[in-house]
Amino acid sequence: LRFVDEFRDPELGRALAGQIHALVEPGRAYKVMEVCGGHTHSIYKYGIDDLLPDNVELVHGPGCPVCVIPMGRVDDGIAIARNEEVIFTCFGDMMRVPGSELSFGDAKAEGADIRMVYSPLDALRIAKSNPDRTVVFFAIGFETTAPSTALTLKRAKAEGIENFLCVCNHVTIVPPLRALLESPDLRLDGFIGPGHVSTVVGAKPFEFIPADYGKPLVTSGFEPLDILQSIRMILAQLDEGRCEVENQYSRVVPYDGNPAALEVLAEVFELRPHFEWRGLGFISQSALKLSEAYADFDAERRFETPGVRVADPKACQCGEVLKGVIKPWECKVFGTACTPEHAIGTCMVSPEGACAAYYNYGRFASEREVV
Amino acid sequence: VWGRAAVINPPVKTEAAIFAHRQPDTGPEADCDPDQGCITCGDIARPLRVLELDRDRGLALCGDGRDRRETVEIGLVLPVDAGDVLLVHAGTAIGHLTREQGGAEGRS
Repeated sequence: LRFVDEFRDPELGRALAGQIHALVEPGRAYKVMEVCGGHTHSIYKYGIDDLLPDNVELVHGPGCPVCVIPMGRVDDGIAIARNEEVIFTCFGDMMRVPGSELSFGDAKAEGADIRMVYSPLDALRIAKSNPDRTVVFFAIGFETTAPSTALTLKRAKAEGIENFLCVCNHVTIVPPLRALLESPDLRLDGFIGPGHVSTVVGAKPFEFIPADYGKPLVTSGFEPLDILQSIRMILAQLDEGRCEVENQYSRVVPYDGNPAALEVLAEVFELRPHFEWRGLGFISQSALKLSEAYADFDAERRFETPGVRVADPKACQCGEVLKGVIKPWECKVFGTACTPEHAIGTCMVSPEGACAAYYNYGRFASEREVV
Repeated sequence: VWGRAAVINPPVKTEAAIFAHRQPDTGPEADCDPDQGCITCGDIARPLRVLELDRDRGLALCGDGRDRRETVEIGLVLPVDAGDVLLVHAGTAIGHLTREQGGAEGRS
């Protein structure tokens, strides 16, 4: 397919890897964080870390929306799904995310009507064809996914559909990045910026990273050549002593963002005063809720939910993994008690999670390193 | 679908195998294949070609050139014509691949 195959060319990949090796100073350790879970997945799928010099380390960031959902939100969702009149809809990865007792998949097995959808539009379609039931959509995602939910809610409002509600768990990328940068146990040299979030918000919101924290950031695409080129651009900035936001993914990322998307987000959502992130704790103004104009569609206002904060399991070190402080295989339960089928932590549940990516693609290599 | 992740653990890839990898694009179930990653939950989007337009409702029927077709919200990337390639995430086009983004590269 055009726009895919060009970015997987092996010759160019080898050439880029050679340029990266040439840019690296021997003896200096480089730590680069890829913010987005999609990048983590691509890096392991294509073995990009194997192409890099030994002293360039990729650290996995918090950019997986499933991985940062706290267990209390899953419990709230299950409480709503157990109402007789409710058809509860969510994306595929959410089904296995553990709550304090059950996941959505377990609740479905116990009889709750929980269905997997591919897009919010599908959930709206279910609402239209089941006028006597209430369809609740469990919305998750960063700014990439939020416009999709927003457009669907606008459509529901315009068409006067009253049996469609939304549990909004949308989160924003900048506050957790700032929280990470403030964390004292983190040493990073640069960032591979999230690509598809930036198609919506642009590369501009990341300017605080070079300005306030002195780290370069390159907004990157998701194909292997995109990621290699972004790493080369970051290393070139470090080599030349520059520090700025660069846009590698300019084929879809407008530097100032997508104005139509930002407008619809501002209409449908407003910022929550604070929101809990798994492993990162409470971060102020880091998530979205429905605005007053869309209050009628807010499932949290319509249904009673426990709203209880549930502490993460003690054995699980997702927090440290999300902050890049430890590697997934350094977690005590990685690959033993915590596997993709029986996940303890969310990083193992979602394929974009660092633990699942390691487990599926890299665990044999890391076993060699450990032994 | 969920149980497959541990069964199919691809061995660690060597340099030669890395770029030779071509994933087959499959039907909707691939969107949530644990081996592929759920493209909606992740920050992942895929390029699809516009086959038909319903301009009044702001929707387009898009396909990947194989057997996959889906209805896509196009309100964020207008103007859109049949034959354009859009970057689609969760049923919404978030990028327009056949149109150039003006002067975006390398600014700081």
